[in-house]
Amino acid sequence: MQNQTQTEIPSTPSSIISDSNTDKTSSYTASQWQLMWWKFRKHRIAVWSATVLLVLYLAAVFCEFLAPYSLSFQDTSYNYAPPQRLHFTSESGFHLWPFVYGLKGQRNPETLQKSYQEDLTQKYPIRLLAKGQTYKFWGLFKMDRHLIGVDSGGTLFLLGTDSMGRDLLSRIIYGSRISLTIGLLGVSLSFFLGLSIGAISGYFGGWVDDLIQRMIEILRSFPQIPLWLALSAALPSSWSALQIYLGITIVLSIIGWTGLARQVRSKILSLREEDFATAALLVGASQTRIMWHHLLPSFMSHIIVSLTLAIPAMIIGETSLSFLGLGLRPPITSWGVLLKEAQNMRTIAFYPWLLSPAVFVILTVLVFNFMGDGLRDAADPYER
Amino acid sequence: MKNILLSIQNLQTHFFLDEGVVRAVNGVNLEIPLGETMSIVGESGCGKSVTAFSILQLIASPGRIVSGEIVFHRPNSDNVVLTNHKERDKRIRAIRGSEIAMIFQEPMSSLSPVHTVGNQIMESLILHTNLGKTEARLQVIDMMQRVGIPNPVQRFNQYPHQMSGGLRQRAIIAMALICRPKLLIADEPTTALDVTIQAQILQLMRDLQTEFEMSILLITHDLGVVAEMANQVAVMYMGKIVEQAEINELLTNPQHPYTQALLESVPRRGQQPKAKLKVISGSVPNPFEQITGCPFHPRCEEFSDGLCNQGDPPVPFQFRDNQHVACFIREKDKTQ
Amino acid sequence: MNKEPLLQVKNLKKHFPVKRGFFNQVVGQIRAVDGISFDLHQGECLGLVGESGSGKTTVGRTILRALSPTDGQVLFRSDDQSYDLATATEDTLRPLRKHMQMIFQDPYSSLNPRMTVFDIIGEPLLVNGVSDRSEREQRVQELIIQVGLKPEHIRRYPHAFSGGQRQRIGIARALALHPKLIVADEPVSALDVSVQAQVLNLLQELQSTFQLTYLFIAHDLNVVGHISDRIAVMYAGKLVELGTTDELFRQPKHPYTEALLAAVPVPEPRKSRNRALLSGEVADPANLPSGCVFHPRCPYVEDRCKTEVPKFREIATGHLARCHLAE
Repeated sequence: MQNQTQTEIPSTPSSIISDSNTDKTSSYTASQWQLMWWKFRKHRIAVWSATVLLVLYLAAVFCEFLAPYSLSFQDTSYNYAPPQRLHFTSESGFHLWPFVYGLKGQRNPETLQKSYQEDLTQKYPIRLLAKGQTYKFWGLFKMDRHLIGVDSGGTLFLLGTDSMGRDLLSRIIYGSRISLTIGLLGVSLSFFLGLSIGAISGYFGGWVDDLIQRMIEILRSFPQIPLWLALSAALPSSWSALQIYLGITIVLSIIGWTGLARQVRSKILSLREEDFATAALLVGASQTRIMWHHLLPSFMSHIIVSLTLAIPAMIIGETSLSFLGLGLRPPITSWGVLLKEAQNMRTIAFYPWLLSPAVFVILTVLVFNFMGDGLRDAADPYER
Repeated sequence: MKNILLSIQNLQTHFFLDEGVVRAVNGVNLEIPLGETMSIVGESGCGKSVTAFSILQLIASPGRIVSGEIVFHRPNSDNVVLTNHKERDKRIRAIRGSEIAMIFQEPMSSLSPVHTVGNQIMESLILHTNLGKTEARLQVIDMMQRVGIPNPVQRFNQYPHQMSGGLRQRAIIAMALICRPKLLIADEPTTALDVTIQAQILQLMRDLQTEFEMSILLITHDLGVVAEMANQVAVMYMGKIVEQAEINELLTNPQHPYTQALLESVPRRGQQPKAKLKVISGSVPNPFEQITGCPFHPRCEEFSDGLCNQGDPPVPFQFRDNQHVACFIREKDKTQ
Repeated sequence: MNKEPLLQVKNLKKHFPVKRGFFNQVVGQIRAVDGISFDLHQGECLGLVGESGSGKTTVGRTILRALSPTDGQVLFRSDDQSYDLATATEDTLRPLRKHMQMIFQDPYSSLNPRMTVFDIIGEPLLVNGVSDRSEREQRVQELIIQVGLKPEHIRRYPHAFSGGQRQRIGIARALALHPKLIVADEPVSALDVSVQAQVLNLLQELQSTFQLTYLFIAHDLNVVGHISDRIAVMYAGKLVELGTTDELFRQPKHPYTEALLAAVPVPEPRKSRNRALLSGEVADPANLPSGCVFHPRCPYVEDRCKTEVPKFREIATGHLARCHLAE
């Protein structure tokens, strides 16, 4: 009897696991992040959005090189030039490589409006790694190569120009550096505040918890935009561009952390009741160990998801503040600053291309949300 | 010859997942006699609940009824082939909740927290009949009385959270029975309840069955509950019925090795204390796996190489008058 | 058997405050555990049975100090010294924790899904000073074999295992520190019948191998009866009966035990369908009835049951019941 059961028990549980299916075995030893990645990969829109985001951020990183013109470029003789078309065909037939025609500006003698025609006699093929204005890459290396460009004499305003004759595409690319990073910076600040304050609140409980929760409620009961306005109006106008930039991120994250702190708190409260946390307590693990080894890793994925979803709110915040003239100000270039130029009806009616930064704002916010969606689905790979 | 209320023929319900196809129900044949209780027993994942949902055409994507026929033989009316209708068909919707009703395991999630219990019971009555509100209300209160809810007039206006688990389960039974169904499908109706409450609910279901002359399809993992309730039992394993018999036959004289092991692995009173329990070695195989031969052979004690692990799975054969077994070994012994 | 019990629980109470309103005022008490006493000897298995809300889980957690008791004593013997766990500070408690462990009901929530089996079973060792990784690894390998899993399983995460296998991992974690006392809180109720038998057999085997003492908490009388030497029946925060398994099954002294025994469905051909059923619902621990807490459901209720609280008294040797009528 004893013998029989002795042999029976060890052989019992393993029959389904011992199948040497390599694919399955790898999933058995896959960590949380691997499982999340596998699940995320199945969400096709999210993967596409992630790719688009990657491209956008790469553009922000390499903006000096990608932009056809440098930030300081302006040519008032080409102010309010409409977007130039890329051509593949001309009277001489089909060209494998796109080119642009030269731009000819004329002032209408009656309205004094400037209008531009393509000068069909001048063809400027698009050059890769074209020599253009010199710039300092990342403020360090002196370079004069741009990803695309045309030979000197021609112009390449793919999204048109503004009132001072500055290339809008170049400015949007430069602006992405500010607009996209202000979200990241603001979110990291919120993350720090939210995580620490939320953890304190959930961990200590009692009157500390009550105090923090009431404080959050008060902060959240202020209407967001007026609060932002008030705070940013308080930033001294004597500040440098960089200081303003940092000031605005702080303003944005002052509200951003509250939602996160609440999430962290409720997660800690519920996870503390989980049996695995009790089990750790019962084997003699210290409170700090339970916090760092059991509680924090359990909701980190959720926190990352909510952070992803918070970034677009920050981007919108920056854009709206700058649009209202209370955020970043020229000479800093951000999408919001660019949009400020398209503030009145007249500009929009005559120069609609000035709205193109808005397209980038919308695109960015959308792809962030799609990606956040996919991440949210993937965040809990252990769902039963 | 008994009258048959519902017959299931070669039902196959599969779930098409990224990881592969789960053959949750894989060729089930079953007949539910009129006015009796048929019980499907099995461990989790054996396909017993999916069978029930298939009857009501409630299989959501990625699941699909791949083949098979489910015929509802209505006592005083024409037959309906349920499998010919889609989930949202008018015909099915008219039958679901009125002629075939279902009660679920979880008493809290089957009731909406924002409507009063009385209104929820009344809803299906108004949906399936053309009774007026006052008339319907009287019927609901009458039904609440019958299922043993005290003070039905006051309880009519209460919300689910104001009731105990036992009362909620009674309310759910009232909701299922309000249209006088011919077939009641009960999926683990007492699993979430305490034993003393479970005994009350089982008693109630038996009483109401006699009163309303309905058939019950009872789905459970608990062989004790089956012994209390069923006339006929079908034991399921990996989407197939491995043994079907009259209840006392099955309990006293089980034939399939799986049924035998299942019965012996339950601890009982009066057993020699601390004796080893019989175990079924291993655990239920991965649902994506396709096992050749008898699906139970990797865990079977009587496994015979060359007989059990080859070819198609065994088909139930008549072992005794009222007992069908799907086992190669029993079949061989019988024919010899 | 040692004369000194390993664990002595004396008048243990755990009340939870009921809070309402904006300022969280305490408006009442839920008396989850309301004065429980029992002894547990080395090598013994005591079953604790009750329905949901009876407070049986709270008893287990309070004894192990996952919860702090409201009142009472929990005397635990270790190295010929007696410690009162009920009042011990966290610092006195920590070195004692390795002598007493818990097996949980839910095989899913009791294992951290983000840790490998090695980290889960190795955690008790790590926090108790086994800092050498290879030493831990060796010990975890031993444990995993003892509970019937394979050494190569320790690199895997919990999601790779079935419910029964997870429960084995939980058992290995509980065994890691060579405990004397194990509180098993419904260890098999989440498992399928056939797997339940496997785990019950394993628990029995381990008990005899390591001379473990079990407090086995469950709602299923048959399961408890199978593994326990003695059984304590709990109703509404109080023990209503305590006796050896055999006696309690043959001659239940409390009407509740009697009803509980009658209510358990047995997979045997039924003889008669009509048995005495308990009416009514389990008592609400926030609003307990006067007198005997069981009187509203009791078929033998008398007048004094409604006013007089019955004592938990010895009816026969080692057989206690809380009923005026028991004899």
